[in-house]
Amino acid sequence: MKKALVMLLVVALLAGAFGFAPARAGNIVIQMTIGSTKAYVNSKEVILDQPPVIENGRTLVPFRFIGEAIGAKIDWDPVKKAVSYILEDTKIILIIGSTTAFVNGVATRLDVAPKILSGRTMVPVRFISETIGAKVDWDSKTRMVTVTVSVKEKAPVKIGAAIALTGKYATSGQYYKMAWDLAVDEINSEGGINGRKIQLILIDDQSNPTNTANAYTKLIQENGVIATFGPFTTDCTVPAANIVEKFKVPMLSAGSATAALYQRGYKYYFGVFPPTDAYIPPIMETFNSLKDEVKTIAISYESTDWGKELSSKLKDAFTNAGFKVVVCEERENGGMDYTPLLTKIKSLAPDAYLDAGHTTDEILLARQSKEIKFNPKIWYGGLTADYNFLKNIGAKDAEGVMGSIAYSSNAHTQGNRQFVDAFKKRYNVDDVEYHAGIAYAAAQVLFDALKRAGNNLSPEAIRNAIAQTDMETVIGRVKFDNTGKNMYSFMPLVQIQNGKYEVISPSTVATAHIEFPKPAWGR
Amino acid sequence: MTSVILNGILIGGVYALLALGLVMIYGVMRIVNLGHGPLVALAGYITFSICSLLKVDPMILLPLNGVLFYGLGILVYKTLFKPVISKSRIVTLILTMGLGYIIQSLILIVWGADYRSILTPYSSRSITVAGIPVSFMRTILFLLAFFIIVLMYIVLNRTKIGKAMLACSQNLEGAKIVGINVDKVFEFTNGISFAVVGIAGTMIAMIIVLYPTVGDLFTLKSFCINVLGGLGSVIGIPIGGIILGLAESISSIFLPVMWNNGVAFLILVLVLLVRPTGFFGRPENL
Repeated sequence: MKKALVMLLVVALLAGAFGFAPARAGNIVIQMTIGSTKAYVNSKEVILDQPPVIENGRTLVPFRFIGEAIGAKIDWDPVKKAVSYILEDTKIILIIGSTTAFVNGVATRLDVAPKILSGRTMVPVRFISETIGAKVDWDSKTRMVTVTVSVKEKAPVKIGAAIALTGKYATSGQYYKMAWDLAVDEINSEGGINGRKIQLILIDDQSNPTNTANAYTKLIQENGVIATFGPFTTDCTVPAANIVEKFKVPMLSAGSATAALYQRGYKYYFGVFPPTDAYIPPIMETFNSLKDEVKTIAISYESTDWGKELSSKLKDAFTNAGFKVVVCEERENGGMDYTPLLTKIKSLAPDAYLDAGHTTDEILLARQSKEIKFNPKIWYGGLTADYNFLKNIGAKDAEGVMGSIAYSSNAHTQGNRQFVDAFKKRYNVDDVEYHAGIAYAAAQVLFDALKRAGNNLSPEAIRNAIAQTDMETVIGRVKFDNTGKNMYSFMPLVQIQNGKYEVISPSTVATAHIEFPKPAWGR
Repeated sequence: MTSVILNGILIGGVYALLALGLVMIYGVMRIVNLGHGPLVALAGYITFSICSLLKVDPMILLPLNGVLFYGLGILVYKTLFKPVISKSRIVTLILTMGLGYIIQSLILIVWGADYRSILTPYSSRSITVAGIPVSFMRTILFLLAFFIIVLMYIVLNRTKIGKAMLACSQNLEGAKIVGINVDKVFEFTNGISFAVVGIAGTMIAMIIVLYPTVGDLFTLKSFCINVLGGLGSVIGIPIGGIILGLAESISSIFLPVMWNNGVAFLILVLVLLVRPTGFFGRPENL
């Protein structure tokens, strides 16, 4: 089954080069008739510029056609008048007008020399085919030459990741798996990395950092992966980054928004998730435009590295811009009752309230804010821009809530439309959650780097290829600075308006004006 | 301050309802049900599915889930608990832990990992008590908890089966000697405890967000209340619940909010130091 699939892929790739769809799985069958410009590759017709001819009982065929049909890399040296084929570890050099050919540097005698006919280089088909191990049949009645190339299965390119498939962050972890599975299938159906299929090995770390560290050690040492995706949450990413750094295997992370990770001098760690720095400018743009109405600010944050980092950056930015931060409270991560916190904050009557937290907590914070009638002019929840927030609150109650988002399914980024359609179709869902978008972008970057690394898929070469990345992805442009951070990290400020997420800042990409002040809950 | 105390009492009622099933199973059968939280979550998920499928009000499902979970309780007792109940407490502990994992995995398979909420026109509504807005749902939950606990108290002290349950709880050997069919009592206890879990899950699902591992949170809170109120003491539950709720709420006024769990557990430690049996526990229940 596996072999058949690989063959299908190779045939598809070859067929793609000729601009037609794959005929069928199996060997590559090339049929040519003496004196006819019509040839067939896997039963699909190809028109030749120059028909095959017979010279001294040997068939000569166009050099480029046969090379592309068998899937070889072809080259032409006008000075030496030499043509060459490279297929896997076989290199054949033929010289026009000479009966001496070279196979991997060893001189070999030909019965008939290659020659030029009507500007086309013609080469002996039997010699080429048999040297690369293909079978040649001659039908004297129909004067047809049939070349059958059996396609060998190439070893897959192994990449791996530890991700939360069960445990407290399984909800987000599943989106990573969904996006990566889709990306891997897409690249494999397009022929993989230089004909090699990608094999993604996922290990469930249950969001437990010890499991994460063990998983990456196993992936590298036992499974022999040559590149990795990062796990979910900063707590798990730190040990994972230490492991890949130790073994010098590149990691493309889509699961940590902590900026401090980039200050650890990692050489093999790259991240596409916008770090906390990226949240601040769009938020400040909005707040600075509301300085007359918003003066006091209350902040709360979940008890994680990310929560602490984001809240302290927010606090600094607000204080520097002349706002008064009345409280900056740490809170439990994944609790049940935030009423005490919200009651405390409500009693301080801030103009704006911001929380740095994850979706489930934001949902409870919003509901409990409504219950105690806490109605600040701005209500911001770090990750309320996750569509699960809207789904679990309802459009009426969510009206006016703000959040930051790294990926949106309706963003006009390159390839986003196709990705969203493919994702919705494959998983039968009505929207793409933002973690899936970021995970997909990480796959786009890694696969692009693998392709650019070419035949030399050593971790070092892949690392260098990733470092040179400058491409458009579904989350926008990605180019890494020398700390491995995406210098085009982008985290717009969004607001829920009429049951939809609208970008309100930065103004360059805004889709709507801010609704200010936020209406009371449920109005 | 008033609003904080009011909220503390209300959330205490929610905690009490959450803990009731765990407390009764422990009180009579001496089984520490680590699958308690996941069972509550399961009831929530079932409610979610029926509500979104039939577009009915989740309140209607209270009796239905009660009956459904009563049946489940009988089944779990007969197939899982009965064969091991006379064995060491470690065996039942591991068994219920496994049960919890199975339920969590089942939830992950059936409902997936997405967040689920049961939204009704009255969820997140508030009512005004003495000029203070308080959660409508929590008030309902509090009243329901109060009602069920009073009902349980009456059943335990006024009915034959209830008295038999109390007898088993106080002295199992004695109960056997006076001719109580311990097996039947255990079966009924497990059934009724699961029924309470089913009802609690239905209600709690309306104030929280469901995800596969949400149950762990419930097990922890329930366990804390069980110890505070007195192991296996039904009457201790509302006391334990309200103390926990008040400790969390009031401490947040004077201390960082992050400390409210710490304060709650500090009180737990203090209570255990002064009264190792909890407020209403008896030494024989340990």
